[in-house]
Amino acid sequence: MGIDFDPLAGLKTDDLKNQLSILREDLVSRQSSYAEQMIALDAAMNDIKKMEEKATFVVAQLDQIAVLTTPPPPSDAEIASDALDRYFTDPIFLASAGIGGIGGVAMMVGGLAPPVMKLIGKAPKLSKATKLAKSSKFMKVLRFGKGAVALSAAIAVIELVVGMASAQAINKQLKKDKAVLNKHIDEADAEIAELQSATREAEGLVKSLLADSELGDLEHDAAIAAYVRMMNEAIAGLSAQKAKIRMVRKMVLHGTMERADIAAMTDVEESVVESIEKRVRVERALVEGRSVVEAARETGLAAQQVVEIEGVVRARNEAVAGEDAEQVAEILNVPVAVVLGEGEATLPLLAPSWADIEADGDLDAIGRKAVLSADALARLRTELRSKAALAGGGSPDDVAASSGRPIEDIAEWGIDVAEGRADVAILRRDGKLGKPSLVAAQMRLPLSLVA
Amino acid sequence: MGVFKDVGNFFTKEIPKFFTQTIPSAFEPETYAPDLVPLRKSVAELKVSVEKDRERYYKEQAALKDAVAHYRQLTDDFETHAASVPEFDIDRTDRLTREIDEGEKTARDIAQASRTLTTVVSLGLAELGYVHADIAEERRVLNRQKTILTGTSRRFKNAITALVSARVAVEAEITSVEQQMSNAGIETGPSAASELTAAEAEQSARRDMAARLLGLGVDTDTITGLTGLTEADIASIKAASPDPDEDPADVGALLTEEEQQLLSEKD
Repeated sequence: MGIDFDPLAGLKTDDLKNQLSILREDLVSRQSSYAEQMIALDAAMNDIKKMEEKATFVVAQLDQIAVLTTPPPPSDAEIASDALDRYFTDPIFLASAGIGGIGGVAMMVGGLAPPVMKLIGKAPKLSKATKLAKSSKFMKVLRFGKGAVALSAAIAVIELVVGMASAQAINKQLKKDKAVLNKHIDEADAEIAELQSATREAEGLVKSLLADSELGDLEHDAAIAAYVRMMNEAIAGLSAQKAKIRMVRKMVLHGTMERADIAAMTDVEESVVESIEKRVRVERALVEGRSVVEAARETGLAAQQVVEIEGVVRARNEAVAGEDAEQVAEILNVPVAVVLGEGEATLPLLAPSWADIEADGDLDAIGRKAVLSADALARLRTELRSKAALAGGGSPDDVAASSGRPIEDIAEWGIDVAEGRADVAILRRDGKLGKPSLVAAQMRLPLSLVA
Repeated sequence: MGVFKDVGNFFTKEIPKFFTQTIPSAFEPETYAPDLVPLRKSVAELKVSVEKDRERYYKEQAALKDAVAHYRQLTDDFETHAASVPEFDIDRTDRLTREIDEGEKTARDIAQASRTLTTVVSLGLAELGYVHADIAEERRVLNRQKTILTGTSRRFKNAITALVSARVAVEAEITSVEQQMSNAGIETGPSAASELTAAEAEQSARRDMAARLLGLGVDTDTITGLTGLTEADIASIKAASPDPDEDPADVGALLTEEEQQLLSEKD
């Protein structure tokens, strides 16, 4: 609120100066509280950002695991969502990613410690938190900071007039300056108010998230540390599960092992192995060109389940072909974590055939084994051959012409080649270079650059 | 020439000079109290420098918070990632925690003190109004302000030093952690700590699985093909675990020759 300077007009010089000094002191303390609010908001924002990062990571891992098993038939979706508490209550999520079959859900639930499960149950609240944090409200407040400048200006004006000799001179100056002065003060006040309400809201959000995780009784720093610990436990638990289930999928893809053997070797329940087997059957049918309806009839799954699997199969093909994960995710309406995860999990599977992909191997045969389309592998082949040409000193223009790909792609591959070379050199130096074909596949590099 | 010119000069130059310069100069401190000049100057300079210190203090406080937040983002509140970042030792983070606490504590103390001090100093402004009235009074006021301002300045400077030294320690630690992470092949983005946790958990799951397969008598080639681990990894797992049951019957029970061949994915 602005200041009413009228009562000051009647004061004697000394009294007037005293009043102005009190006013100055008030403005200075506003400046301090402004700075303190700023720091408090910043701290709360850091908490929120950290909580958001952890929550996003956990949700991404759930997404990646969920697409490894068969999605539940429509009637079972509810049971599954009960099992995973509120995480799967979002119907859009159900439709886009598909959730792990009952076996998969049991696996995910069964293998994780109680605090981890509790946190996963909080995931929707966390996504709400991340949305709030991104609502730019806080960031906007943090950004402008004009209030501090306005207060400094107001203080400077007051100091100027206080330095004047007489009440008359001061009043004359104040009359001239009071509009500007009040504008500065109003501006600062408005900003402080906004800052305060944003800080309250941000701190409230952090408190409620901590309370949701049953950490509300702890002192703030300890609660945040405990929260991070719990989330890390969730991340570790889910990562271990993911590695295990991906290994089961690898065994299933080979197609020669008995379900019971796989279960015994990996210590995974037979029902989970079965769910993965069923999914792989559907995927194979789809990659071999069967329609959704045909694939559903062949495998006895509901069309909706097959549609969900189809989305992930297409995402995997695009990821292996080297398309941009974010774009693929958007076009296919699949979480970006799934696109990234499928690429990350599928490339190592291609290691044994890596040399053949770059050379003249039968892409149909390789695709059948890894459940990929020949088209996706053909695009990968173009990339590998182009990279090999670039590594051998070929000019980008020539490579663009021979590959039929735009020069932007060639430029990016050139960077990949240079970075890949450096990374391989470091791995070799440290004696950490694994099987050349595996390293080449993981890095999307031609074998010649690694071997 | 002469007279009229002199008279003219007297009226146009000397009389105004008497009123504009000679009389007022009798009221200037240079004339009546020469010591007030440097005193005023030094108080004015102190005021400017204390204001600057105050701004710097808030800036440094915010910068320390930023650095600590960045560090915690990297390390998850000082949780260690012993497997990937062996040099990351808990003693050092403990010392760092103490340093940050120290910096923040000093900062809190000064924040309290500076509130009171700025109040006193700014109230003293009014007293500066007594410029010509009482030399002794002005000298008293100026000296009091000088003492307060000097003390405030020192406290601010100490607080700033504590904050800066804590920040420098945190930033050095950030650089060192980032270097270690980059040596371990980990990108240092906002989710670096999560990535690291995930990578470690996956790696240890693979090692567990490898140990299990070794126990079942599966050969190294098959295990590297299945788990993506290197032969050196398998060797270290073998070295760490008790001798696997060498009974060949176990292998036959789970895997046929053909299966092992298929799983081994030889290059």
